[in-house]
This record gives sequence, C-alpha cells and structure tokens, in this order.
Amino acid sequence: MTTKERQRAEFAEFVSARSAALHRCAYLMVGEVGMAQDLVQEALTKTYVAWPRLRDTANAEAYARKAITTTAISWFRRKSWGERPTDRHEDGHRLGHEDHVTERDWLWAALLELPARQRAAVVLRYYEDLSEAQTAEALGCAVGTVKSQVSAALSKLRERLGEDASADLLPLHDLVVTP
Amino acid sequence: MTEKLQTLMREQADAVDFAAPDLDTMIAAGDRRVRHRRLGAAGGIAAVAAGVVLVAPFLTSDQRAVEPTGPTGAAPISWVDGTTLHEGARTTDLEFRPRAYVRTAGGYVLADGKGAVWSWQDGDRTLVGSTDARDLRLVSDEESGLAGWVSRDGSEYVVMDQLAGTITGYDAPAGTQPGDFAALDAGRAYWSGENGPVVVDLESLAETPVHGGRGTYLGDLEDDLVAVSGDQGVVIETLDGTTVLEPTNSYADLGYLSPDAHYYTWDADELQVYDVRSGERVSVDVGGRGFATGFDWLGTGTLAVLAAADADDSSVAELLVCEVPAGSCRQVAELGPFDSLTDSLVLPVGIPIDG
Repeated sequence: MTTKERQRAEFAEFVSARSAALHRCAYLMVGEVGMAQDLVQEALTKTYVAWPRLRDTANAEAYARKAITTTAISWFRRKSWGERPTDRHEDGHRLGHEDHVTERDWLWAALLELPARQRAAVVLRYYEDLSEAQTAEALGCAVGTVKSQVSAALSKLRERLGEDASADLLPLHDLVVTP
Repeated sequence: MTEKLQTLMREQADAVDFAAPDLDTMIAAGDRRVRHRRLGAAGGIAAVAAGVVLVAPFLTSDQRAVEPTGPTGAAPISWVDGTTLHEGARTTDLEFRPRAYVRTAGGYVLADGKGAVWSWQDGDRTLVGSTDARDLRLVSDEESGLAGWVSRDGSEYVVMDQLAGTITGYDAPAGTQPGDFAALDAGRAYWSGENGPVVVDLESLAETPVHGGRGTYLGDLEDDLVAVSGDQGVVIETLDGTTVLEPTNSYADLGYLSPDAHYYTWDADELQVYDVRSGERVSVDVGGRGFATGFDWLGTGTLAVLAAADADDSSVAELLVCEVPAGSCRQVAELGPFDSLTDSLVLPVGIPIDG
C-alpha cells in the first residue's frame, strides 16, 4: 500500500467513525441540516488536504472541528447570515406567552439568533464540552475572547428569553464566567 | 453549568439524521486542491527563472499568452511537456517521460515513472539512483548543484552535487518516507532525523534539531529560517528554536519563504503573505479572484501567483505577478482550464502534479 493509499484509508476510517458527531456539532452551529452537511463536507475536505501533515490522527477531529467552526463563521460573514431575523422573538416576555412554542423551542430559537461567533463559542463550550483553551483554539482567538463571547451569548440568551423563562432555563449562576 | 442548554443542544442534535458524507467527492475535491496548489508551485519556479514568454510552447487553441515576465539574467524557464524539456525558447527531446524533476545550478534531476533518477546536464542523461516510484519526491537548491531524494528502500538520504559530480548517501532512520527529505539550502539538508526534524550541515554532518519534533511536516529552509507544519498550521522559526512567525492559517499546506526570508506565503487557496518578522499579514489585491496561491518569489518583494476565478477544474488558470508590500498584481499569462494542465505537464517542483 502506498503512502497515499494508506492516508486515504485512514481518512475514510476517520470519516466513518466521526462524521456523525461532526454533523451534530455543525448542525448546532448553523441550525439547518442541509447547511450543516455542506459545512461538514467542506470541513472534511480541508481535513483530507491536511491529512499528510496530521500524522497524529488523534488530532484530526480537533482539526475538523476547527474547520467546521471557522468555515461556519466565514460563511455567515460572507453571506450575511450572521444575524438571523429576530423580529419574532425580540421581546422575551412575549415568547413566554406563545402557547405553541415549547420551552425548548424558545431556547433553540434564541440560540440561533446569536451571532455566529457567539453561537459557535456556546456550542464548543457546552455541547462539545471543550475547555476555554480548546475553544479558543477552535475559534482561532484568545482565551479572553472566548470568555467574553460566551458571557455575551449567555446574557443575550437571558435577555431574549425574558426574566421568567430565563430564570428557569438559564439560572443566574450560569452566567458566571470563569475569570 | 447551563445544564438545560446542554440538554437542549444534545436533544436537538440527536433528533436529526444526517446522510453520510460523500467520501469520494471529498477526496476528489481535496486532490483537486492539492493539484492546483502544486500546479501553482511549479508555475512559480518557471516564472522566477524565466524572463521569457511563459506558456506559449504548450498553448492550446483556447489559450493565449499575455506578456512575458521575470527578472532578466535569471535561469531560463523550464517545464516538461511529455518527453520534451522546455528551457525558455529552447526545447530538447529527453527521450523518456519524466514524472517529476527539479532544477539546480548545474542542470536538472528527473525521476521517471519507475522511480529511476536521472541527471541531465548539457544534453547528457545519466542514471544516478532510484527512489520510490509510488511517491516521487525530489528536492534541490537552485543556487547550487545540490539535488536530493530518498533511496528506493528508504535506507538513505541521497544528495547529488551536479556541479561537483558527486553522489553521497546519508543513513536515514528506519521507516523514512520520500517526503521526509524536505529541502536543501546552502550546503545544508532539512530532513527527518532519528529524533525528529533536523538541519544537517552536509560537510561537517553537524545536526541542528528543529523544534516541533515528530508529528510535524517539514517545510522550507531559507536563510537560517525553517518552516515546520503541524496540526495548528505552519510556524517559522530560527534554527535555535525561536519562533519567528506563529501559525496563522491551519488550512494552508506549506509555502515559500522569500529569498531573504523577509516574507512567507502560504500554499493555500487564498493568497496569504506575511511579513515574517512583524507577523503582519500583507494585503495583496488579486482582483477578486476566488482562487489564488503564491507559489514562488521572483525576488524579494515580487511574488508569482497562480489564480483563477474559482478553484474548479474548468476555471482558467492565470499567472499573476504581485508586488509586496505594495499589494498590486498584474496578469502575466492565461494557461487554460486547470483540467487541461495536469495530463502531460511536469513542472520543476520535485513531485508529480498528481502525486
């Protein structure tokens, strides 16, 4: 087996093992299944190109996750998708009075209204359970920026949801950001 | 912390079924990007050497030459089309079809599809070694007669001095791959040693370990600076391990240091040039083209760039010459669609276009 064939086989094995998890992460960042699939396809293509120098394939997932994150932010920035329409949920109190909207729906909608970078920071910290340093690496920014992005995101979620809903969904102690 | 938020995200993500990614499409797209970048690298060497019309000898009816470029007095541009070696306006029938080659100050070193390595000097072809035909890799120092490769069995780094007429084998660690021989510059080799990347003085055999250790992908060596690529991107550092330029783009492959190591350009789909010492990115206007990659330095501050409207195979590849740090570019040639350039063309970058 040539080096190239071996690398392709390793990459195929990685895709088979980890693409589902990467899809879930991408979906949380963009909120749409089709876009998440496009995002993963693009991120994995970048990972494949980099594969020869990712000799420690254990790092491939971190690389792919970073590719998903930065590509998502780039797409949103380039295509002006960063801020979704917020007119339906401008008033958090009003959200709570919409009978057809469940508690989970409120939070999901509010999450998707976050700017792309803040949403990515929240997904990486609280879904992927990355440390602040790992999140900073994936976002390509300083740890301090991660702290401020997450803090701003959680504050925005609380604001968006309104006092009643946020008190239950996002208790105040959740807003404490590790210095 | 934020337990409900975590629960929400897990439930939301788990509720969706995703189609498996198209592996073949990803690999095809990835291979295409690598080919384009390598095509760019090759074109750059041609441009730096030439000062003559760049593409006319292999223009198709759909292609047009725009204008010559390159510094006067430089070595002639070279490329191989099938069995024909082009050196500026001069052509030579090699009587065999090389798949990879490099240029030195003494001539050319070429590898064929069976892994045979040939020296070509003044019309004479000499068999000088063999390497792994499945992974052809040649390196050279264009300012001296040095060229190098890994022996077919992987046991030796082989360095030929075309000007001196010598061939020297250096023991290579077990498991050495052709790609472990990264660069030659000013009598030194940059390759993987027993304990990681090293720069070796070929006279004294003194080794200087390069920071990063195993798990890195070796890059360029120029003027006492080395490029090392790892999971986080490319880092430029001095031979004593002082980081000069931090990784800034983890999606780039390697790239090229300018001759005085003042600038570095990543081998990526988007043209990126950095001032090595300040770490600042230098803005270069490629006219809105969707694909552009710097591939060689024509001199300090003059960068050859391969560009196209998009990175698709059908996009017409163009050559630009860009001034750094002014950031202006001018078109030098249109080469034709990418997919028409990868069949018989071999460029002096040491690897096959499809390798």
